[in-house]
Amino acid sequence: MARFLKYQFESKEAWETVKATIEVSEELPNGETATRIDGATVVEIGHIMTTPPVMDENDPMVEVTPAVLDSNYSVDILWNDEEAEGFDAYRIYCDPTVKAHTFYGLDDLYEQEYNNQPE
Amino acid sequence: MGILDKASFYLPAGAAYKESEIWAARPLTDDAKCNFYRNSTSTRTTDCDEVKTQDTNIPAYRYRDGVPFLQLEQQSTNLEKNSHGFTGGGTNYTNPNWYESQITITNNTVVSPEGKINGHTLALTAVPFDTYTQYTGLTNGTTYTWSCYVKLGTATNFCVVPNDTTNWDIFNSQSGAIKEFTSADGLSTTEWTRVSVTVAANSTAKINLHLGAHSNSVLTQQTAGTVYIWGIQMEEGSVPTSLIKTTGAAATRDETKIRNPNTNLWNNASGVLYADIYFYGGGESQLLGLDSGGSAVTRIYVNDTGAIQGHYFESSTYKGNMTHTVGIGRHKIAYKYASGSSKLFIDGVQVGSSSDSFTPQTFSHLRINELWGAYEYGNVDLHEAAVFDQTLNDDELISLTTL
Repeated sequence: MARFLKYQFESKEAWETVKATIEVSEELPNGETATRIDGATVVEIGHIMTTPPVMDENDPMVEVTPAVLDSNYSVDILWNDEEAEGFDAYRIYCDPTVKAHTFYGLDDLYEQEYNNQPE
Repeated sequence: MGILDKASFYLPAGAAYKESEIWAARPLTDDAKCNFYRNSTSTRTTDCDEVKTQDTNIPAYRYRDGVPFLQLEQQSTNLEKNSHGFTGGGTNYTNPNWYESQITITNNTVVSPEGKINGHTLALTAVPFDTYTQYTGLTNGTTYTWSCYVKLGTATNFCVVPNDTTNWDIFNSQSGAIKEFTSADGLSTTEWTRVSVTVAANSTAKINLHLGAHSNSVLTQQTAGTVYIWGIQMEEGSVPTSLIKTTGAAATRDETKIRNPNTNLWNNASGVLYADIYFYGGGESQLLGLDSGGSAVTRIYVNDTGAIQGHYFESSTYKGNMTHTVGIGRHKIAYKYASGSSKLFIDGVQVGSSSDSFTPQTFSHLRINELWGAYEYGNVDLHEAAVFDQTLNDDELISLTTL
């Protein structure tokens, strides 16, 4: 059964290290070597905006206060089956009603994880 | 079916399907069952131009000029957090909030393409006017496409102005950047039309999109009026993909892929691969291929510029490799692979031939819209596809591929 889980890493580099554990390298017909991820659909959300920028009331193209971005690097993964080993340490369970990203039509899958999250 | 009677595998338009499975019309055995994958919901357009939701792992057919095509799409994320509505301005104009100036947006006023009263009215009341939102977190230099469904009210046109934070003067002087849509683009007062604009994120990785109607080619000459909009999408890439409906959060639609794991239907030494497609541009797709589960493969392939290739891959080398570039639209493609005499036919014309010899590989899988792994998902619709376990002569290949 598919699982929709959310993760946060301290940096993009930290995510790249973990991602490498689920990547497979193969030779393409053009002779190049490429990597792919088996058994999952991955969406790299990146640094989520925690506070939107404030724009000038009179000139809305002028940014008064810039946006504030989360320092963590967020990733959503739709596993075809079970979660790969080692990923559970990076899971997060944000409120399903305020999440930044979802997989189309699969909100229920994440809510199920949220409602059954480990103590 | 004519020539298609000779096919060892034939996936027709409107093939029977259920969740995660789709059946070829040939062979007439259980081997006809193909695995279908799209691990999320998607939308499709019916022959009445109605937008319908299609559940996870259910094949989606959409219509072009009354002809059904199976949607083969790549993974895409709609960055617009509220595809169905505008949320008011204030001082925060970042998606999903929209800035409104001399414009009134009234939600849920007209029947949308999905048959619900959730289309919105943009009433333009003064000059100058605009409404825009700002997408943040975009990748600098990366191409994005913004799209939405539009129907005219009293206005005669609809404008989208892709902009960046340093380019506010675009309203006064840079008319060339304005993308104007009129009846010449299919806009009407009776039917919804999907319009799109493709832009690159700027150095601050933001895109502002200004919407407005105007009487000439500059937004300083505007006239009041109304337009209706629905189904906003902002996604990476150069073409709009099927609508990904969002409510409060960006959403991702998974890519589509089809496989038939079988070793008995294919001729390893010679045969014909055939696909009748609609090419949208953007993405790279293996339209139809046979492989060993590894790097032994024969296939027809299209890249994002419409370069169609047919080749037989052996020992890290292309054999019988041919390329011919096509434009956006419907195309019938046949690749005859045969050691010493491979040929490529597109739309009734032979466009390539090769005398390369190769050693037959062992094919165990047929794949559509993917290579043997997870690469190469394009934006191509498939009307029908076939594999012949025998070669066809030139007259048959011309007949097979003539539009």
